[in-house]
This record gives sequence, structure tokens and C-alpha cells, in this order.
Amino acid sequence: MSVLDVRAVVKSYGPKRAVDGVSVRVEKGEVFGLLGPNGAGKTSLIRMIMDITRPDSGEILLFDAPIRPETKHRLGYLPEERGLYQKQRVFDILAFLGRLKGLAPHVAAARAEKYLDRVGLLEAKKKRMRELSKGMQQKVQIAAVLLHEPDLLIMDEPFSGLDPVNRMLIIDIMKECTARGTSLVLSTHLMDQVEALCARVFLIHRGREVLSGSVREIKEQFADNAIFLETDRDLRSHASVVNGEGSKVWLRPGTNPEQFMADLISSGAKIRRFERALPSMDEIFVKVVS
Amino acid sequence: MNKSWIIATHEFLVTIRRVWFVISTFVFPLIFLGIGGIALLIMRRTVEESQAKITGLPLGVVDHWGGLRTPPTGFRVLRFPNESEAVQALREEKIATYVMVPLDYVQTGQVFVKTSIKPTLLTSDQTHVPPEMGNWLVENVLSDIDENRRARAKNPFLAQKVFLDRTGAVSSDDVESTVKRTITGYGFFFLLFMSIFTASGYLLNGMADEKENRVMEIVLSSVTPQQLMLGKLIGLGAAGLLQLAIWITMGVTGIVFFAVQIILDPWVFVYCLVFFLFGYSLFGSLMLGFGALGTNFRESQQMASLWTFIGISPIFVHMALVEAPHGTLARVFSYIPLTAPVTMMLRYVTDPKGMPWYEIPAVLTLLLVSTLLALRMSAKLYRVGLLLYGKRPSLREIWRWLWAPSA
Repeated sequence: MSVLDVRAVVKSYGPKRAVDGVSVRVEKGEVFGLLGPNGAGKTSLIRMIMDITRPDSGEILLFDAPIRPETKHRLGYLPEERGLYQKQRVFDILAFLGRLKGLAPHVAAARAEKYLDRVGLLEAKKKRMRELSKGMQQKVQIAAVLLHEPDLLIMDEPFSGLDPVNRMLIIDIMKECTARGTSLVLSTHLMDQVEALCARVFLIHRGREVLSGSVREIKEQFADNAIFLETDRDLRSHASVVNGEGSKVWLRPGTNPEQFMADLISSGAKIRRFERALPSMDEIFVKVVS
Repeated sequence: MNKSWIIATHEFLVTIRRVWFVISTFVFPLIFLGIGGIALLIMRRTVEESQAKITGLPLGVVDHWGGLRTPPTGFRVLRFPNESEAVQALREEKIATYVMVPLDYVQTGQVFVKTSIKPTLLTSDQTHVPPEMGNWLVENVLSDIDENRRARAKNPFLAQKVFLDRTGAVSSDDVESTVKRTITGYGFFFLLFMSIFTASGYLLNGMADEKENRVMEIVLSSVTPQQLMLGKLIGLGAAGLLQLAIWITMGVTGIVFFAVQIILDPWVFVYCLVFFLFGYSLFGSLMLGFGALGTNFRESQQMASLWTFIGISPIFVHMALVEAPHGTLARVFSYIPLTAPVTMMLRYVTDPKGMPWYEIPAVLTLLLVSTLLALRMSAKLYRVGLLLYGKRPSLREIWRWLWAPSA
């Protein structure tokens, strides 16, 4: 069963086409990276998935069915532009948002306590939002999108404003959610987090898909026949080597890295380290959008 | 509807727990009354001080005509042979005013009043001459006529008023009840006015707060803009109604006390509720729709200012409305949807019998149609405006959104 199926969706704002024929599929329990530079169309796409705006054309299926009002109860959304009622108390806000997600009053109250405890803010439940630090407010917002235990969680830049300790806390919570079967769409500019968390990614640029697939496949696709090699030989004049920089060596196109290493060993070279040098997601991102 | 109800309940509870709600409900009317009372006292004091100058000192009289004999008992007069002596007495503050009766007074009727009392806004219509002066002149002009005729000349008629209604039958109205009714009309006019504007202000404030705090997108991931708008309208409307009820119960300015004494017509309260609901729904939806286009409270206020200006316009002409509750001005304001609720309330309370039978149903129909239109129009702007951050839309964009099919 697919949790999210976006089919050839188009959305324009005036003359500008924000999303141009995008198709995306997210499976149950999957962590899916939605990537793209600022203004690429990510937020426009997410707002359509959340039924905040409607596509001009195309179709969005959630849990194999068109979006219905009750479907919203199964979705959690942490927008990039986010905040909560500054003058209200933390617990009241969470209980209210839980009620809007279809929870009964007593369940909403219990869940508010549970998730405040999970993000380490149970003691702050009677405080007003404005009394909390930015990082604490961020954690309350995360608790707010979790308390109805959604089946699909969309988080837009969830790590912004968090220190490394709290970032790890949120990653742990994300893992708990996916272990429970929740699908997670993660939109972030932190590519190390994408590599660590996402099984598949989708890169959107100027409203169109420019890249999609598993992280491993994409890295292989962008690999430029380079290896990390530490040996006792000087390889600068080797016929199969194009360039070298530290332990990174670029091989001539068509040269098989494994064969190259086998040839070195057979020639008596001592190999201390050999590894395929795949590009980082950061490098791929820059290469694709620049 | 269920989600709108959850929002309404939340908005209602949050609003009535706010310190400002409590202050505006219980303290503002007292401040309002206090300021009004102090202003009235100052006005009365100013007039009294001016009156004291007129009656506290004797009136100077320079009689060139020569017909003025002994003044009536209790009327303090200082007589001078010429004006220069009168002016001297004025300088010495023995008198504040003197009257010069010229030689040809009987032919022209003209006398000259010269005074050191400076005119002010509140005392500009004072004659500076005590009323006894007129009687003294009549007494002397008609000295050869019998006493009864002189009395009639001084006081030509003693009116016994009987008010008739439109059919010519004797009306139960008298001057006292009309005054009370007018004061009551005034009271309901201001109460309704304050409650509609306060409740709409809560709406605008709350919405701007949500936009500034970036809460909108999180809320909209659970509800539709229409549900959110409806919930807010209901919740804050209920808070406004509660405030109105408290004000009426408190008997602000003693209006209800008057109302109970003279208005046994329960329709006053029914119309108060109906006109509040229409006025608030109409004004509140416009506040939400146009206010949503601003990126902060100040901008939201600016966006909604056109409607605010139209809405408060009856305040500028309230004296004229009270003076002629069924006059042309009052009728024009009754058919402008934003000014209709408060104007109709004032008209009905002040003079219910003078209002043509068709006016209330006509205005209610107009309000119903215009409220539905405003809700529809505002819902479109609200939907677009909610997610508009950091950019103020142009008039052309607003126009386009208004006519775009609902997404």
C-alpha cells in the first residue's frame, strides 16, 4: 500500500508555475527525503499534499484514496514557517491541536503529556509559549505534530534551531515513529541527515523533478570513478590514473576499480586502504541545482 | 462543523480568560462613564460659573428712554445716569453687564447689552441679561394697561401639550418618556456599537496574532480555512455576546433601568440580539477577510480600515440621528449594511411607533444578503491571505482573488 501517491501535479501562482508535473510515491514506514533549493517548489508541493492548497491539475492520493477531510487526522505536518500561540499555555495548545486532529478530549490531554514528556518538556506544560526558549518552542511544535500519532509525517526543516543534543533526540523520535510504521517525508538542507535517515530522495528544482531514487543509487549514478587508496606506491605516473588529491584518486574512464586494485596487489604493492569514493549528497545537490 | 465547534470553544475560552477581556468588560464602561461624567460636570460647572457672573452681581442699567421705574422685588439693579459711569462700575467689577435702553426704545425695541463676560463655546447662547429684565420692560411699557393683560403680555400662553399618534388618537407619549426613550436609544446605540467593534477587534487581533506567530499552517493542516473562519466567528461572536450581556446586566449608564421603566417591549432585546449578530457577522467577516491580507496587526488594521471607517461613521452624526430618528439621514444609514444595525437599533428604541412597518423586514433582508456576500467574499480572501507572509497584495491581486473560482 502506498501512503502517498502524487501524480503529475501542477500548481501555478499567477504566471509562475511553482510545481510542474511532479509525481512522487512514498511507501509505508519509509523515510523519504524531499530536497531542493529555496523556492524550488517543496513547500507548494507539501501544502497540496496537506490539502492546504489544491493542485491546478494532477491527482494526490493518500492511503490509496483521494484526500478526504478525515484523512487529515492521519497526517502530521511540521511546516518550515512555524510557530504556536505565544500567549497561550503549552498544554492547552497541544490539547487543542490534538482535538483538531480528531482526538477525544481526554486522549488529547493524555497524549499532550506523553509527548511533552518525550521531548523533555513536561515540566513546562503550564508555561506560556513566549516563556520558552526558541529550541524549547521547537520541541513543543514537534510534540504537536506527533501527538495524534500520524501515519504520514511531513517535516520541513525539523532540525533548524536545535542544538546537536536535541537534534539527536528528534532523530531518535523519528526512528521510533518509522519503527511504528509511520512514513516520514523529510525536507531539509542538512544533507548529512538525509544520508543518515532517508532511504529514497526526490530532488525538485524550479518546480520539476530533477532527481529521484535511493540514496545509494543516486550516489552510484554520480560517482566519477574515484577511489580512496592508501598504498606504498607513487601512482601519479600510473597509466590508469587521471588525477590524485591526498588519498583520493581519479581513475581513467573505463578503468575498473576492483581490477585496478587487483593489478596493484599482484605487482607487489601494499594496500592500507581501498574504498569506492562516492560523492556526498551535498556535492550531488550542488552539482544538480547549480 | 465539529471542528468549527472545537475552534469556537477554544477561541471563546481563550478570549474570555484574557486580562484585556476582563478589563474591557468591567473597567472600560466605568472609565467611559467616569470620563463622560467628569466632562458633564465640567460643562455644567462652566455654565454655572458663567450664570453666577450674570446673577451674582447686580445688572447695570442706563435708562436714556426714561420709562423704567422701580425694578421688581428681588431683581438687583444698579442704575447709572450715563454709560461712562456704567463702564467705570464694570471696570471696578461692581457689575459684569449693563443694559443701555436708548431714547427711541419704544419705537425700535432695541436695547444694548454690554458685558465683560467673554463668550465660550458652552455659554455663547447666553443673553447675559437675567429674564427679569424683560418682565421689567413689559411692566413699564404697558404701565397704563390692567394687571391681567400685563401678565398675559409677559407670559402669552401656558401650553398644555397633548401628543397624538399617526391616527390622530391621543398618544401615551409625553415629554418625559420621550427623553427617557431617547436616552435609552442612545444607550443601545453605543452598547451595540461597542460590542460589535470590540468583538470584531478580537477577530482581527487573533488572526494577526496567528499570522505573526506562524501558527496558520499548523492549524490548516487539520482544518479547512472555512472551518477556521466559521469557528473564529462563532467563538469570538459568543465572547462579544457575553460582553454585551454583561454590559446590559451591569446597567451601563443606567440605560436598562430606564428601559425597564419605560420600554416593556421585549422586541428591543430581540432586535438588539439580531442586530448584534448581523452587525458582528458582517463586520467580523470583512475584518477577517481583509485583515488576513496584512502580514502583521498594523497592516491587517490598515487593510480593514475602509470598513472600519464606514462602520464608525454613525458616531459622527449620532446627534442628528437621535434628533430625527426617522429622518433622511437615519434612513440612509439604515440602508448601508455596515451602519444599519446600530442605526436601526437607535431608531427602534427611540421611536418604535414612528418607524414604517416595512423597514425592519427590509433592512433585515438587506443585512442577510450582504452578510452572506461578505462571508463568501471574505472566505476567498481569508484562504489566500492566511498563507501570505511578508508580501502586501496589490489592489489588482485582491480583485483577482475575489473573482477567482473557489479552490
